[in-house]
Amino acid sequence: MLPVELLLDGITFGLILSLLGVGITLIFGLGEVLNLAHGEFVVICTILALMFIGRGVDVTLSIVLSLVIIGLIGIAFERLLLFPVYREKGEVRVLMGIFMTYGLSLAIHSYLVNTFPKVHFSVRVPYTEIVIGGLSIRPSTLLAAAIAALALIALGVFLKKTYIGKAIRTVAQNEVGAQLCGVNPASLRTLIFALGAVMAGLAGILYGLIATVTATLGLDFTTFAIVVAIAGGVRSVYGAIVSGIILGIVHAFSSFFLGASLSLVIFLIAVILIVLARPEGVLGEKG
Amino acid sequence: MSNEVLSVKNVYASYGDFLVLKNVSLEVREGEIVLILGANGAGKTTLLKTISGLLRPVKGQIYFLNRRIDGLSPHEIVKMGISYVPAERALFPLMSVMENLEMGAYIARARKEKEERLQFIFQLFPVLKERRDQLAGTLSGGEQQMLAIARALMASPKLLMLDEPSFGLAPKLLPKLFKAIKQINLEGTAVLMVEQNVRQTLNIADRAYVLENGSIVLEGPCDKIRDDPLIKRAYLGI
Repeated sequence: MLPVELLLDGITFGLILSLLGVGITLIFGLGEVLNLAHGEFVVICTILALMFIGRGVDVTLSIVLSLVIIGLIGIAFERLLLFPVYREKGEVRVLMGIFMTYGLSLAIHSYLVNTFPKVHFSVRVPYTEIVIGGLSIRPSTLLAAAIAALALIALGVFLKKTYIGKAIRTVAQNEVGAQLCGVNPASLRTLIFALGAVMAGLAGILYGLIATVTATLGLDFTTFAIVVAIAGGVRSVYGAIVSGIILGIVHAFSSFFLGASLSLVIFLIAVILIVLARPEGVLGEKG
Repeated sequence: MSNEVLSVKNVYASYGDFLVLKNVSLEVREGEIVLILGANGAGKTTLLKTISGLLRPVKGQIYFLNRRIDGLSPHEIVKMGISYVPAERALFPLMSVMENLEMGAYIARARKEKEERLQFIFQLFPVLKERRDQLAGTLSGGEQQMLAIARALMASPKLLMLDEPSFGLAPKLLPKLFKAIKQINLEGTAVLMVEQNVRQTLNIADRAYVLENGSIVLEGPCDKIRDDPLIKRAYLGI
């Protein structure tokens, strides 16, 4: 494999990591809840897609349906389980959020692993490799990268240009100020949780284009998501995007040259180095 | 009285077990500037917080334009027409001046009047127009205060509540600030304010209430309050 091909693989995986990290970042930024069940949304969404596909529904339609449903699950989850968490303030809220989402993640994880032990989600794209100037590129990789990049750009435009997107940023920057402008933080927290779940689901679908999602992977995805968010600066959306891409590239090169198990070590060392060098996140303080 | 904008009736409010407001009643009428005086810890900020919905009263009622508002959320109270500028300003530091102002006009009613309000605000505080693309977090203290007031005005409030608007401002800016507040008031917005610069604010205000240990101990038109021996000694240093 040529370095350029590795780089493309790394960027693709990195954009998928960014999708995960951005969700964690936004949910934490708005409500101080570190969503330790985030990776389970990835798995649930792929299982939903598989169920539709298994019933003979068109693949693309199945994927769209599974993304819609994962968003609704996100809304239900936030409304039913996080409202006692949001009643608390400060440290108590952070701790309660961790307990609540961690407990849920364990429950979902054991359920999924026991109920769907053999499920494998991967999407095949019916095109052969493209060869350009000696580089062989898989169309599935290109497709995954393009969709992830589009989703992240769309999110950026939403946050930057629309009234609701701006309102989301105001809650993250100063919640009292947001309320005094007429913004209702509670409904935006629900919205962003649903959006986070959809982006996690999309990450799972796209991961299925470059690899295989199994029911056991939820905890791994959660870990990746949190680590990417931390390296990105916890509260910075753009930081999470950049750190996802950097870590994706690190992951691609280290797993190619050192193998899968060592690559995780290198991955985490890279995170530690980023945090040591830029404690405020890869982009510094900018939101 | 029919021209009451705000009417606070026998309100009690507390932080946890600590009762801060005890049986507070007050009114703001149409077109008035009303001043709340009192020492630190008397409950002035708590009173504004309670009216704005950031704090729920333990007992008592609050009416705004004859509709009961105690128990509503802050964002609902903003929609009804009360804008509150807290002492800490609560700006969005990573957003530009312009974005802060736009968010001030977040509520549906205000979005339609956004352009007119901007004109009024830029004429009131021309410096905000110069700094429109600068991040709010990088403004000076005085500019931040102007932005906080301007952002509150973007919602076209019928009642503007200001907590210590002069706090942290250079003394030479004060006459300008009070002139701006008077101008806002003349545009038809009633003002309820807490202010330490008693002498200057008594000149622009219509009436005043004096809070002591969470209760109102004195109220009246400003010229009467100014002559009260208690006020002279405690606030005017005469």
